[in-house]
Amino acid sequence: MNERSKQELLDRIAASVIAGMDDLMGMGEVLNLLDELESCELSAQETELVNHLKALFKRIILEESPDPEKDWESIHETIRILCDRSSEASVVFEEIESQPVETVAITPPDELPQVEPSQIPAEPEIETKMDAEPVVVKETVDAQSEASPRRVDEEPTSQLTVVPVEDPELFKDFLEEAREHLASIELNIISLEEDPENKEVINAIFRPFHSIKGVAGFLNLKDIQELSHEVENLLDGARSGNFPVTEAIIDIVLQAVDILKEQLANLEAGLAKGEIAVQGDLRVSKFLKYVRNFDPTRSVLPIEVPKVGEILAEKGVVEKEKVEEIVQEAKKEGKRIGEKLVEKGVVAPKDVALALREQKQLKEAVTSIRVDTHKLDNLVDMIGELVIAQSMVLQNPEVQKIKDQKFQKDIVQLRRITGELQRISTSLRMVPIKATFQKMIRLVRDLSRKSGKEVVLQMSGEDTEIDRNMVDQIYEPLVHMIRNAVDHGIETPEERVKAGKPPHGTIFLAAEQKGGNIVIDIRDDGKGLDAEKIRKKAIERGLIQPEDKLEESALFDLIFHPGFSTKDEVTDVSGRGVGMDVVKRTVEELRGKIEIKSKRGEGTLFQLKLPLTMAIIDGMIIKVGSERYVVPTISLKESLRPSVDDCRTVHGRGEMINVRGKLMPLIRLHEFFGLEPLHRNPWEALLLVVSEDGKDYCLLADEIIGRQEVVIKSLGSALKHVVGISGGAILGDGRVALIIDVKGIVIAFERGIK
Amino acid sequence: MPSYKDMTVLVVDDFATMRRIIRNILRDLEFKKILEAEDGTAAVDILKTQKVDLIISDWNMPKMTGLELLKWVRSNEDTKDIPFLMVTAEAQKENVIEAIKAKVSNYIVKPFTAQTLAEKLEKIIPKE
Repeated sequence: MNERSKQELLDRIAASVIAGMDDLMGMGEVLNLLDELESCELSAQETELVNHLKALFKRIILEESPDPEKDWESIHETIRILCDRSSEASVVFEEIESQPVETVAITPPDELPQVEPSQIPAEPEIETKMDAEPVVVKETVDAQSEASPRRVDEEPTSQLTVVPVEDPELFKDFLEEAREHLASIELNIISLEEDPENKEVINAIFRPFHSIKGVAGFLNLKDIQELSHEVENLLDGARSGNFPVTEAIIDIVLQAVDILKEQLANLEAGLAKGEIAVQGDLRVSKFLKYVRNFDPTRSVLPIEVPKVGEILAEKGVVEKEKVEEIVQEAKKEGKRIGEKLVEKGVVAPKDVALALREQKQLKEAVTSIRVDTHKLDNLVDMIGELVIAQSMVLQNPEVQKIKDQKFQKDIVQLRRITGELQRISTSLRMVPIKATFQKMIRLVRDLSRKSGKEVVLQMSGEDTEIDRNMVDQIYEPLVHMIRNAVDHGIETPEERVKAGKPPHGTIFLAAEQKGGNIVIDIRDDGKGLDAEKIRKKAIERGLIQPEDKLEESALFDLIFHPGFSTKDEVTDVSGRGVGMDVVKRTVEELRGKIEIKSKRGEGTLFQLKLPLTMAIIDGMIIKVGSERYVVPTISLKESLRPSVDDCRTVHGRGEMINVRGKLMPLIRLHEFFGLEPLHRNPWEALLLVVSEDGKDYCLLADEIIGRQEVVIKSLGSALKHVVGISGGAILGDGRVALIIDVKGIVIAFERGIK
Repeated sequence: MPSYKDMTVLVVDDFATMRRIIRNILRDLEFKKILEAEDGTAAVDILKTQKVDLIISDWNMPKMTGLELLKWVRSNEDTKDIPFLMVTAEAQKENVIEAIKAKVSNYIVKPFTAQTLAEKLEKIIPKE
């Protein structure tokens, strides 16, 4: 730019009219001109004048001026001096710092004019409230200080401040919206963990906290406000690149989400009582104290990891000697080396960030390595073999004769070690189900939007661990069942209100480890399955005969039949009922089971039972004749020995057992496997009650030997299609037992009858 | 007092509760026509089709921020003179200068009272 345009700019500045201290637009105009002017060649004095002007404007705009009137005059005076180049008047300024109010006054103290209160721009301070809004009551003045520097030494108090509720509707809106925001935060946290430097993701997490804080401020929910504020601060720092997003930061965010959820729940409970606690929650104050003392630039690193300075020196960004010198200085001042290097201008912030990232990668390399899953599977297999080999040795009669005490003690030790080894090897393949669950949050939201129904997703047991190989495979079935729940289960808000339910439906997703199995519940509080409708449809489709008398549970199981649908219209959400058969098949391929429980008007529960891992099953060892078999406990409902009266033969249906008033077909395992049994009469033998497709059956066996976790061995391709057998296992004494495929046996049995 | 009754005001905030709070205050100030938009892009859609006399917008919104909205408003012949009140957070006062340079009419810091909002409006709405 040349002198002419500079003169032009100065003329324009001189001619600009600022109507008054409220004319922010006028000030904006001048500020823009000043910015432009700065790009011209300016003398030292001119630069000083421009900076002075900007600082004055800034503090007037931000209402931080100790004396706006005086500043106002000073602005005009400065503009006059700046633009009137003939007068080379020397002006001396004291420096104005933009932020703190208590900085030097520009005017000499003796001539401070009296400022009328009305001329002071309105502070965003809390005045006596106007009648309708907001619920702001006591102690609100403190809201101002929330942005003040971190109050580290504030002690946690347990004094709960409770205030009456004035506008419950507003709070209810807030509750709902805040929960939505928390859900979106959780969702984004996953993306953040994958890509910690993604500014957009950080922003997407930052924004909801910011919004929650804003509204909490209005509602005077001080705990929520302060908590959101601190997290927002932290994220803002990360967003501006002041420090990288570490696991510690992610943990803080997640913890904040947890506490906020708790706070919202408390709020909800308080609303019902008409009185809410707004401040003084101990958990919040503890958290605040922690976050305020948290140093985001610091991360705990093991000693093997090179220091940032070393990395920088190695890269040739800075000399080693220089680093050492600055390290000493930094130590003295208690600063971080990276910070000090940047401050000294030796290294660009970008280089420090790069070095930090490299350091992080090195750290990760130290703590974890990638292993081929095949190797892992082999390891698990071999450890299984080891356990078996161990029991073979120990059960050897010759070994059992040894009475040496030292030997007995060593055996105990050996058992302990192999047991631990087995436990660890299994856990190597386990991952928490959390990530899969969290994908459902988004799904439910999208579905709810598409279907026009209000649906809330509640989850529990996200930390339950499941075999890595299974996690991917259960995803599709879960998606499908949740879709079904939204589309077929949950009613429209109007229908729900009519039925006396809250307008929003809820889907509960829960995982739990029970014995050797994982149980996943997908429950909705919708309208439940319509057994009669299912029956009609099934007859229509020729799946059952009109005269068939099926129990409700058996009717429900019909929805797993390929091509079954009760929904009259096809919707965009779950399409035509295809799919539940696929769900069932997938679950069964994983050696799992799926069950339905449903109550008209109250909702439906889909319960998935899956083995913990694909490599091991929890099995009941039974004896049929001289052979031993393993029945997966997942298929077993109970075992019993019937009385003579309970056993009868029903014409056309074969042998039946009466179990507490319910007739179940008897399947003789010895006949199935062609063995000579110990007992032919059921009342002398043992019955295993199993359930398939909603129907119960009794398997006849001779005795139960015990329950054991067995490592599944494939029978190889030649024996893959043997009906009724799903695999083999080596038992403690080294002998092989076959694993019974209950479903296969039941199907073969049904076919035999027909 | 300028007559708020006949003015159309557009409230832009991604948080519905926030919009409701502002709307409630505006009602008490006798505004009758209050439009809402959940972010800048939605606001632009409204501004393209309807005559608006006042915009109250949050700064921090997804898709299109308050500042971007302000810049759009000021660069558009039909909307450039609409009074624009920016809602910002105490912690983000630094943004205010940016907004001022983009010709915001005034700004207000969250949380604010009805009184403060009334005063700010008095400052930016042209007197008759």
